[in-house]
Amino acid sequence: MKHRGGEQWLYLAPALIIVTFFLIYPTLVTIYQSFFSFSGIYPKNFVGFLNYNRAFNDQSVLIALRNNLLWIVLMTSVAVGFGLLLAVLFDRVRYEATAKSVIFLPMAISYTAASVIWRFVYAYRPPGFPQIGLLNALLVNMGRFVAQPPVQRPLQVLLALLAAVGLLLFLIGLTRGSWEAIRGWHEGHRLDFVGVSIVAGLALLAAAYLAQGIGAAKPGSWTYLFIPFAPWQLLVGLGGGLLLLVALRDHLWGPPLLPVLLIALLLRFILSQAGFQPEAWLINRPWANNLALIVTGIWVWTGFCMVLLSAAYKGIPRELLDAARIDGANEWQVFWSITIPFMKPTIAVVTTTIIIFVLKIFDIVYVMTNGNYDTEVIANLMVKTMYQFFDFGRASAIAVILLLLIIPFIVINIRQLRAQEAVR
Amino acid sequence: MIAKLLRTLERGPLHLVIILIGFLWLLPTVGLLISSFRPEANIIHSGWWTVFAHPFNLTQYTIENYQKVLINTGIWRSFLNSLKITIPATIIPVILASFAAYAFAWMKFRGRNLLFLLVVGLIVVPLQMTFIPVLQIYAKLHFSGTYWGLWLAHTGYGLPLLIYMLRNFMGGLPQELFESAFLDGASHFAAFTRLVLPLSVPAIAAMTIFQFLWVWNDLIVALIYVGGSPRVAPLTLTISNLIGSYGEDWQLLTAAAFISMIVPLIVFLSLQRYFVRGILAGSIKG
Repeated sequence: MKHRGGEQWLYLAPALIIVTFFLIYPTLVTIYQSFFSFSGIYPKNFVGFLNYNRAFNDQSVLIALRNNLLWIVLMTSVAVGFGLLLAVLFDRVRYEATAKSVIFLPMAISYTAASVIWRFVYAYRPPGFPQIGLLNALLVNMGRFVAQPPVQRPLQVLLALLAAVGLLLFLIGLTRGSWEAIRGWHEGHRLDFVGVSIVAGLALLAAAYLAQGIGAAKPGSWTYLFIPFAPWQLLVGLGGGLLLLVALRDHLWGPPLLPVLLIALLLRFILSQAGFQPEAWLINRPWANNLALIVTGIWVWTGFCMVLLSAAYKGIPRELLDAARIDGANEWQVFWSITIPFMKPTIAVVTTTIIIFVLKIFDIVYVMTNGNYDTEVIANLMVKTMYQFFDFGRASAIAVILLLLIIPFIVINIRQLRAQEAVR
Repeated sequence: MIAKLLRTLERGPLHLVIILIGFLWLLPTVGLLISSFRPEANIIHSGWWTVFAHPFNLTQYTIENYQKVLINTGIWRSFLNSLKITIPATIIPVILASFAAYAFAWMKFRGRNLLFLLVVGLIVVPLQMTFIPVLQIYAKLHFSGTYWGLWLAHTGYGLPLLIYMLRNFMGGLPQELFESAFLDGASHFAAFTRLVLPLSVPAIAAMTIFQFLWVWNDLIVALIYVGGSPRVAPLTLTISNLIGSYGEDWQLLTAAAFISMIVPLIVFLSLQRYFVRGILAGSIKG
C-alpha cells in the first residue's frame, strides 16, 4: 500500500481539529476552571476545592444526586424488565414487527415533544372542574365509580365474576395438571411459592370483590378494606392474572412479571396517597412528581431495551430450550438456567447503557418542571447554575461531578462490549 | 377442529395483553394529536376522549390551533430554523467523519490506534463538560446565537460517534478489494470515492439518519448556544419556552408539539430499518 507521507492528515485534520475544539480542549479547561472563582464568564481567582465544597454542602446538589439515584434504580429496572417482557411476548405473535414499532415510536420524537405529551397526561385542574388530563380523569372517575351503591355497579360485578371464573379455570388447570408448563411441578420439581402466593392473593382479592359486588361489604367488615381501591385493584388483579396465564401457557414466567407488579404496586401506592382527588402530579413532592418524570423516561426508553433484548432472545438456540424441556425441566428452570444466562451479556450492556443515559438526563426534567419542587437532577442543575445563577465556577464543578459519576459505568460498559466481541 | 379452536382460545390472553400494551403506549400520543385539533373552549371543558362520543361530528375539530401556533407563536419560523440548523449539521459531520473513518480504517500511520481510541473515548463525554469553555470562545468570536455556532457545535459533538461507527463498517470491507485497487495504481482518494463510499452506503445512511434526528430533537445544545435569540431558535427550544409562557394553553402546546414530531415520524415510518440501527448504535452519545 503506497501513499505519500502525511496524506492521512488531509483526511483526519478537519475532524480532529473540530473535535479538539469542542470536546478535548473544553473538557480539560472545565476541569481546570472548576478550581477557580469566576467574574462573568471568565475565571478570576484560584480557589482550590471551594466550588466542590460548596456543591456538596448545597441542598440542591444533594437533592439532584438523590433524584439521579431514584432515576437509575426505577427507570433502569422497569425499562429493562419491561423491555425483556415485551421482547419475549412479542416473539410469540405474527405481528411482532408492528407491535415493536409501536413501542419503539417514542424513541423517534424529541424529549421536548414527549414532555409535552406527558405534561398533558398529568394535567391538573382543581377538584370540581372537569379533568382534562388522562391520569386525573381516570382517578376522579374511579372515585365516582366506587361511590356508587353496589347495585348500580353492574360493570364491577361483571368484572369480579370474570376474575373469579378466570381464577377458577386457572385453579382447575393447576390441579388437573393439564398444562405442560405446570406439569413439571407435579413430577417432583419444587413448587413455586411466589406463584402460589400470587394466585392465593388474587383469589382473595376476587373473593373480596365478589362479596363487595353483591353488596356484602359493610363498614367494619374485612372486605371493606378493599373498597377504596376496588376497581383499580380489580383491574390490576385481572391484568396480573391474565399476564400470569399468558406466561404459564407460553412457558415463561416469573422475572418479567416482577416489573409489572412493581409498577402496579407503585401506582397503588400513589393512589393510596392520592385518594380519589385529582393530583398535581408534577408539583407534589417528592414521590409523585419524580415518578411522573421517570414514567416519561420509561415510556421513551423501553422500546430501546426491547429491541436489543429481542435480538438477544432470538439468538438463543431453540434446540437447547426444547432439550431442557424434554429432560424434564420446568419453565421456571428453563428461564433461569438457559434464557437468562444466554441473555446476561446483553442485559448487562443494556443496563449500563441506560444508567449512563439516565445520569445525563436533562430534557425531560428541564421541560416538565425545570427541577422545581425537588425534581432536580445533576445535568439540569449544571445548566441552571450557569444560566440562572451565573455561577460558572460551581457549574464547572457540577459538570466534573457528573463526569466522575459516569466514568465507572463507561468502564463497565466497555468491558462488557469487549467481552461480547471476544465471545463472537 | 375443536382442538384448533381451543388452541386459538388459549392464545387469546396473549393477544389481548399485547394489544392492550400497544394501546396504552399509543394513548398519550393519540391524546395529543386529537387535542391539537380541538377548539380551545372544548379542550378546557372536557377531556380529549369525549370526542369519541360522536367521532364523526366534524364540527368538534378545527385547524385553528395550527394557524395560530404557526403564525402567532413563531413556530413556523422555528420549523424553518430547525431545518436550517439540522441539514448542514448533518451533512458536514457525516462528510468529515467519512474521510476520517477511511483514514483510520485503511491508511497506515504511527499512533493510529491510539488516536482512534482517543476519538472513541470522546463519545461518552457529557456535553455539560464542554459548555463553559466553548461559550468563552464563542463570546469572543460573537458566535453565540448564529447558525455557524450551532452547525460547528453539532459537528463537534457528533463526530466521535460517526467516526467510530463508519470506521467499524469500513474496516470490515474485504482487504482483497483494496489490494487489487492499489495494485492497479489507484490513489487513496480514488479508493475512497469509488470503492469505499459506494460500499458504505448502508452505514452512512444509518448514521445520517441518526445524526439528523439527534440534531432535530436536540434541546440542550440549542439552549446553550442560541441563548435568548429567537431568530435562530429551533422547534424544541421554542416549544420549551412556550411551556414557560403558555404552560396551560393546551390548544397551542399540543399543536406545536405535533408539528415538531412530523419530521421524525415521517423518517421513522419510512426508513425504519436504518433508523433503528442508527439509534441502537448511538445510544451512549454524550
